[in-house]
Amino acid sequence: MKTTVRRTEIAVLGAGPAGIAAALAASEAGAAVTVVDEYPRAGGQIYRQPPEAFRVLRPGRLGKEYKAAQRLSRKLAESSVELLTGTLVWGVDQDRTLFLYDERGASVELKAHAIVVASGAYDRPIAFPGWTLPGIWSAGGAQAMLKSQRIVPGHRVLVAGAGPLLLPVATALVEAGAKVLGVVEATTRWEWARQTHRMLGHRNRISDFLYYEMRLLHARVPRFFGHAVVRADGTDGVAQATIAAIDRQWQVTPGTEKRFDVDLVCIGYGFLSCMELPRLLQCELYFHPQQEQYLPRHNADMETSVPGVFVAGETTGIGGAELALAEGEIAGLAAARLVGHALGAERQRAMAAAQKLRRHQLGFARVLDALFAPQPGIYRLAQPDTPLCRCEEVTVAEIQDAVRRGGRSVRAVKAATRVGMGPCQGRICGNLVAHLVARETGRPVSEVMDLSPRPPVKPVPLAVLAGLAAEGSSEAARTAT
Amino acid sequence: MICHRAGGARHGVAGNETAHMGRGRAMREEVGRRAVVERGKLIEFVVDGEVLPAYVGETIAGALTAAGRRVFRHSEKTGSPRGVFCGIGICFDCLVAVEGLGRVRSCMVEVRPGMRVSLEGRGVAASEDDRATD
Repeated sequence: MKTTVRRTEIAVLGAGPAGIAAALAASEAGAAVTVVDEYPRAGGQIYRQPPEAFRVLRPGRLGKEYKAAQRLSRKLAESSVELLTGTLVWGVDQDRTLFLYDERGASVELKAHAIVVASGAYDRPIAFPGWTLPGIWSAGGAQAMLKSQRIVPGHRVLVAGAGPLLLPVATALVEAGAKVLGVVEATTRWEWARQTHRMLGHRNRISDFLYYEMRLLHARVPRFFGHAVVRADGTDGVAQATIAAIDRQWQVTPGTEKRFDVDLVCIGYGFLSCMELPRLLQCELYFHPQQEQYLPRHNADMETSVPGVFVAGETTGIGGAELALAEGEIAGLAAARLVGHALGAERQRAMAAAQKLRRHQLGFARVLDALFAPQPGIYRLAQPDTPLCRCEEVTVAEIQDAVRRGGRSVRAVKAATRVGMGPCQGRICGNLVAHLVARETGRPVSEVMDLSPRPPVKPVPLAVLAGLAAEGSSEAARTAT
Repeated sequence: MICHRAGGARHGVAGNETAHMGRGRAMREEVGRRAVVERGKLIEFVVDGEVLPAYVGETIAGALTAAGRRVFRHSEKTGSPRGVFCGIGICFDCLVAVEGLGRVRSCMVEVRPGMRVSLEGRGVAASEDDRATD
């Protein structure tokens, strides 16, 4: 397979709010920018739009995110930014060469002077008995199906987990005609009330929240606070789901179980950042205790420990679209300056304003961290025969066994059990296995969590790797094959 | 369960499609004057020999879901049923085999007219099925 080599000044990885903001800012400052995204359309998750083949008849029903998404993608289309959609970044070299593979089967090496990683996040997986049954969807996945495909994945639904995503997902399901049997939230109203004073400066967020609350109240959707989905049953897909009361450690209170007949359960316990690219780029990381994940260190300009590598949006930690837009603008301007485009007075003011906005939005992110941080009981829902690794089907008991035989970290358990070696590369099971190993060994989660990705970060045809290896050009290809 | 879809009337196919949707649990969103979107052109694709309807722009996972299909494959080791899980291209649970493309994440690939999809990975040439992960 032939590989084309191309060059750009700034490569932006991810076309969500952070990536688009970075690309526009850098391009307006005079830089040549290439944006790469795996999806067929720009937008990422929160700004996900219906496919181009659909015609939007009632934009009002698509929410304020749709308006923002449209505004940004129109600006992107009018700009000089090059947009490569349907294109996967499967590897990177230390000299900022990116290995791309697109949906038409073309293989590209993109050499950049600076990189902005804005690769987003995904729903934090939580395992419970029955969690592999079809009909158990991540809340974000259900939202994507509703928001862009306008397809309702079930009729009788529980929406469960912790955090602000549950409300818009439940609202969208109701508006699309599904029967939402309950919104099951791990935290309590009392815990929410205690954070109210910290939210007062964030009027937009409060009005969104009240809108969803009103819609759910109006549709008489039952709300269960201090509860969690503890198991799912069914033969060829979920048919029943059981919820139970949980305490402040999110530990199940026996005897409080309630069963529901369902055909869809949407699970969302917050998000995990996609860290494959910062890890491959060898950015220095730190452990964020509330978000329970490693994140890249960066300075006020969003530059990481690796010169020329910037981060923005969920890549820097979970914080939402408004924060992502501010970080994207900062990273884009700083990257443009780095590659030789001096920032005039106006752009310097824009940079300062974005930095101020970022600090403000970070305040809100901290409130959500404090309120919705997962508590240890939730990692005890999985039973000995529950698979934690969905790809390789490795159960809790098998991992416990590997720990007893001396595996004291995720990496050691991986070698012994194949956990995290399937196509998802540990994106789904990594944190779950880390919590189990930590519990079994008494070590802190931050110390056992050492699952690191290797290229290709997502499966690509062997021919792509073979083509690179044949040209003998790259370290990444040699590692991969 | 009658399945509703936006734009069906314009393409003049609503009746035809309902027949396909008999087993449906899931559905395409509300139709008629309240429709939020008008879907792309109505097409057909083939799943293990069965012809299913889809609209241009829908993903394979979307069209299968709208047809009431939840089980896309069974796992190798324990034979447990799998379908859409993350829905955004992270988990690889929703893998299906597509003629000419090999195994793909059905949530990431748009359906094309006449596309031949095989659940359980049956009937796809092995040479196209080799994908490296590690």
